[in-house]
Amino acid sequence: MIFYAAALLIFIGLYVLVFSRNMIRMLIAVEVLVKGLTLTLFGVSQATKSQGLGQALFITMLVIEVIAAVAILAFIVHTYRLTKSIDVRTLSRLKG
Amino acid sequence: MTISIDLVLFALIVGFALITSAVRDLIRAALSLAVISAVLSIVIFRLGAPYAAAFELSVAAGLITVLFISAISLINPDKEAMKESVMITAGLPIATVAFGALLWFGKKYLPVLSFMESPHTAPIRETLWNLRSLDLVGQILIILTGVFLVILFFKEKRS
Repeated sequence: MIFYAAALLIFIGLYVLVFSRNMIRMLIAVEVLVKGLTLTLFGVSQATKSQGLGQALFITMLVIEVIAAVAILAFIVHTYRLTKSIDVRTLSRLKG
Repeated sequence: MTISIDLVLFALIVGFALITSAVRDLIRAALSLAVISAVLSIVIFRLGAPYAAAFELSVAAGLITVLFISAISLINPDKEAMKESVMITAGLPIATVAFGALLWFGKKYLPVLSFMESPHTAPIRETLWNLRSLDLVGQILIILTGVFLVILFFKEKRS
């Protein structure tokens, strides 16, 4: 059941990443995808009886998740100040 | 009884993931993401990982939500900009149900997962400080990189 829910979360995240053009919604989709991967990690760590290792890996994953979210949000705010849009297609205007 | 509680928690997570992706208002999407993290922390706690559950609740449900709401408030996009295509508002629930049904009815064709017991069964404290100590160096480097990136993006140009 846990892998079933994880697969659905990963599917939802990938679907929105493919079809959305709103940069913030794309980042939210990445977060949903990461939740699916988190469920997978803990499903495997419970199945292999290694919760300690699972938690240690999760802390690293959480740090990367937060820093990626901070950096991408800073990039989105910076891009919005330049283009007045959060549409990902406007990024092509930035090419030198 | 346990199975039914897990089923409710997983249904809540998937339901709020659909709401997060399909709702037009970005603030509501960020709040739905926080609810996913909160429910996920309950699932993680029930799987026997209390430290990770506390981190998920405080960092993912708290800090990341605050970051999203701050960024959305800074941008304050108009309603037209938040409008999503019909592929997301209508297509996502249909596609998710179709994918779920495909997984459910096609599971007999999928390979059966079998897990061996891991040799690393030490508690988190020993695992983090002895087995995965190099990860801590990587985490510090990633945090410093993030700080550098944020400074780079928000640096004011000198006139």
